[in-house]
Amino acid sequence: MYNRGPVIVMELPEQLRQPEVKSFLAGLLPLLETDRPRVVLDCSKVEHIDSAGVEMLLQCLEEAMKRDGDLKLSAVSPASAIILELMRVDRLFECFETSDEAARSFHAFGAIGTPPSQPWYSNSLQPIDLKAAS
Amino acid sequence: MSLGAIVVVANAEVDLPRICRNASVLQGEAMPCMEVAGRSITERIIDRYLAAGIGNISLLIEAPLLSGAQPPRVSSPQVSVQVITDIRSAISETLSNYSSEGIEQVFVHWADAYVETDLLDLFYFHAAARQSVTCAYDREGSLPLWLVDCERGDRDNLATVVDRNPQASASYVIQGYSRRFSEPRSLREFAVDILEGRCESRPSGEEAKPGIWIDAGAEIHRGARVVAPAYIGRGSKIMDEALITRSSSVETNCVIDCGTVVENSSILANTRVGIWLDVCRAVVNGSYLLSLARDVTVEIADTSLVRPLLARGRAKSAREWDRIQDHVPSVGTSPALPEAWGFGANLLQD
Repeated sequence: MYNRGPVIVMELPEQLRQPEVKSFLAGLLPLLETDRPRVVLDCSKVEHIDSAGVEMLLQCLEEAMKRDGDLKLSAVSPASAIILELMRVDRLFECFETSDEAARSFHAFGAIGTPPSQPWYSNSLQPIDLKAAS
Repeated sequence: MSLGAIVVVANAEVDLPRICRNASVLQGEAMPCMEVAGRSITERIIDRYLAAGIGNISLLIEAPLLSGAQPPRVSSPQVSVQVITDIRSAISETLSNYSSEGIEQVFVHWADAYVETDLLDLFYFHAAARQSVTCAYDREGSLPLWLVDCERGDRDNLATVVDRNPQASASYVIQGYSRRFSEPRSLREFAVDILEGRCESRPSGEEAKPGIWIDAGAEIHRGARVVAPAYIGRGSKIMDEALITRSSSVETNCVIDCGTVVENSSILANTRVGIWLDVCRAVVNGSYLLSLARDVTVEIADTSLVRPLLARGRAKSAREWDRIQDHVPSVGTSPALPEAWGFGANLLQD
């Protein structure tokens, strides 16, 4: 696990099944309790994932979204992608080829970011000066 | 004119994992014995010969090392089944038997391709070509369908047919439909062709509504939706709020659990698909799922998602093969099967 500024990149274990989920979740949940957590889960090592693993991903996503953050996936293998599609959750996650791309995608949006206390879609926001932001 | 036919089901599938991708989804079953829209490819081939009025049909099945395959269900006294160990000697022996019965020409059809063509036209072409062997072709090349002269059949002709070497034969280009079964996705493509009427072969069972084929004993919950064209196989159950759509086929003895969507997919026999899942562009066989979009097969260990149903059907077929194999001699063609295994008075039937 390593930090890239505000984005946390975390490698998922090879086996993401019921026995592994609990210990992994215990390590990840505290990181999701920060303000606007930005998390990338690197799936490159995942060989097997089952419904318990998918539920864990959903739980993490829910925790991140509660705090106005997001959770993205990177390097999802075809086998894992098939399980996500089968369980109808593939469309809930942004997926990227690499963790770098996933991390950059947070920054791309943050460049013209809004104050963390305000949701980015709020009508009450002041108009953003794009020239100044760039 | 007297015609016969030999349909050969070889165990080439044993080597399939080495020669094609995604063979694991077959779980060792021979593709010609697998059901597509309610009938196996072998049964559909035999149906064609029966419909053409060919009175003598021999089904030669290479000793089924793989008990998972479903024995063919054909109830016609015109069809005899032989379990063989040596294809060459079995075809040779069958040809000489036909010759002694006065049959002049014999179709030799390997069951790894399904072909719809005018067999009479092929016969006339063969007669006009004055060759002892004629091979059928389509746009992609030679097909494993031959017409052989019994009387003029010699070792060279036999080698041509057994070795599937079309160079030493006349070439007949078919006008109709053909489908080769060289990889598992062919099963899905064949199911779509059947359901969408691209070939003459129809799904098994009854057309309950236009384009929706329901086979005997299938149960569809009132809250489920089946969108045409679709096929629901014998004894299968479609549970509440499930959706079967876009030319999907659910073969024999499957369960599609509540809320699951099966779209543009084939669920092969004896498979349970769990609740609230999305099966799209896939072939599912027990715990294996072949994603056609990704061209990847995954084994899904989580039985709450998909799993095989060790049902009566599968156990029964294993017993049937075991009983058939009891009659396999060490070399060459088996003696005629006992009456119980012949078609007609047939334990193979339910």
